[in-house]
Amino acid sequence: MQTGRQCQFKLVLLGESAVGKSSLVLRFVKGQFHEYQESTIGAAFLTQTVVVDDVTVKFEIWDTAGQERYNSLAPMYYRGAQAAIVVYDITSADSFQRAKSWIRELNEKATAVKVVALAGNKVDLQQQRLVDLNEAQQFADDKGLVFMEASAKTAMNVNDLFLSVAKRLTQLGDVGMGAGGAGGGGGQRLQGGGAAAGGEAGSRGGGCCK
Amino acid sequence: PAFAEAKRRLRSALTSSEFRLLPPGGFDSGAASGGVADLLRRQLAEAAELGLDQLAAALADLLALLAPFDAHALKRLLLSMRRDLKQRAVYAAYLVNTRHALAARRDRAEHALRRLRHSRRLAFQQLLLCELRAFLKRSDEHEVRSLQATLRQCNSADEKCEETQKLVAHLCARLNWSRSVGLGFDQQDSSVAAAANSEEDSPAGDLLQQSYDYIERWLVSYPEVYAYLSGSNDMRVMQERDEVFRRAMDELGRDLSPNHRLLRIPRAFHSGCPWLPAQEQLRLLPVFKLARDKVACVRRAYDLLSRLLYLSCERPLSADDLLPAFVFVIIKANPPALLSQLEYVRDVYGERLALRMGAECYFWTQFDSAIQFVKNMLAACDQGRSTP
Repeated sequence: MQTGRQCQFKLVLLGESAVGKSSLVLRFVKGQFHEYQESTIGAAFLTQTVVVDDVTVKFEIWDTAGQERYNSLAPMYYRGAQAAIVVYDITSADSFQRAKSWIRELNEKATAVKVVALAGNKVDLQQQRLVDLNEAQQFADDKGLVFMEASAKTAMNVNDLFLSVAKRLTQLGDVGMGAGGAGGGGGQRLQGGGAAAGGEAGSRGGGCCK
Repeated sequence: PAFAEAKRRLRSALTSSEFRLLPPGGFDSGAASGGVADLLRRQLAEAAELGLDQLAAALADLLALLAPFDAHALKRLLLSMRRDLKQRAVYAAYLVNTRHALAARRDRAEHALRRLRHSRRLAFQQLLLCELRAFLKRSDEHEVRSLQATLRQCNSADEKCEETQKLVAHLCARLNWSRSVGLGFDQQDSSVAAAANSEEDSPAGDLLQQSYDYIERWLVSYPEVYAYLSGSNDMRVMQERDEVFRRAMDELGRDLSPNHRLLRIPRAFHSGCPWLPAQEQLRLLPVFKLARDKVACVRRAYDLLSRLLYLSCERPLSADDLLPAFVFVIIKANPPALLSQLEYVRDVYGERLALRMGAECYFWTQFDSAIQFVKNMLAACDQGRSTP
């Protein structure tokens, strides 16, 4: 692997409203939870740079409106995105169902999305848990997703979540640039779709390593 | 003389910024005449511990100087110092006041300087515009006409954009700044230019970029060029469609409340509703002809809305909060020819926007999707009416 590579990825956040999508991002980008600084007005679009294995990864994080009535607009947001994080609230079974259907939709329609992560937020509210950890883990394993339970409030697993996504994205990039055997990577979830997705990402200028 | 010397040295030690170990509640000259030496010794220990050699030396020296003083003499020393302090209080107050006044003056002067810089920048831009206008007048309109002819033959939006860019670059190259007397900072007044460039917000810095932008704007503001760029050769159909959409949105907006079942904007935000500044900004959309400027206009409206929403809730805003309010603002503002403008930007700028990604692209996507949502709302309302 080359050193000092730089990648830029568009990452879209999906999930029901009030599951804490933007709180997770704020925690990741600004290290904040309640104690917001005056400078943070909008959390709908934020960028953050991380370094994994010598590769500098810049995330462009696109928030989406989670209320059900806006669901039909989602394709406009995940078009051209290389990664998606689907968030649910571990104290809401409905939000988990909604997350599952987002993942199905991404699998069917989002051709450019190479890495999908499932994140169960609000793990600090253990007593009110309604979504079983094993069930979510099983679902994520079946679909080949990055999976983590996290808490924006305590910051638990928040950075790890984004770092795992970054890691898998860079690994896919390497596989893709190698012999084109994109289907072999553990992170692949689109059967045979890897090459096409890589091509589209390249032509859009996003996700390509410079 | 030993008394005066001791007083002077003690005062200078006490006023030193390193001197922080005053006992809580201060010490009074009566009870603590022995306390002075104590205090100094503690200070000395601290200075030694922190490795402040010079301070420690000065303190040790002072302690030696005070050693021959007995309690009575020490008390006399302190009382005399207190008297001095009282005498000087008026002068000290005067100094503090003068400092305040100075700070205020300086602030005002800096503010004036900022304003001056700003107006200089504006004046410079005006000058540049005059110069460019004169140049473009000279350069005859046959270029524009030939561009129109070329555009007529182009099929794809890409080709049209490319042709336009080519002409802009061509005109820009023909601009010979070294001969332009009006701006005159190349030869006659190079010192002015040098001075302008040396400052951080140099107005001349992006001269070429500004000229380029201006020429592009000038070119696109020709109605014919704009019409060809906006793709559809059938303006009538587009105008009709825009008009239908505008009327429908007008009707929808007439008695739209933030509680509408498809919006449900949280009550916390209602205090700022209907977010007029954002609406006003959005209504300016057709004024801008260049796609890039339209996108910037939408972004300004979005930022204004974010700021206004933030004022009523004081927590960072997510898309959950912003999108419904944005939809509301778009419906209320109802800028003319919305659909064709949307298509125009998508055709001539969409590709570049997606390529560049970034905040601009995100905010435009928000706008695009909000309008899509308005369409859904209109359809839902129609359905509601036909099947009551």
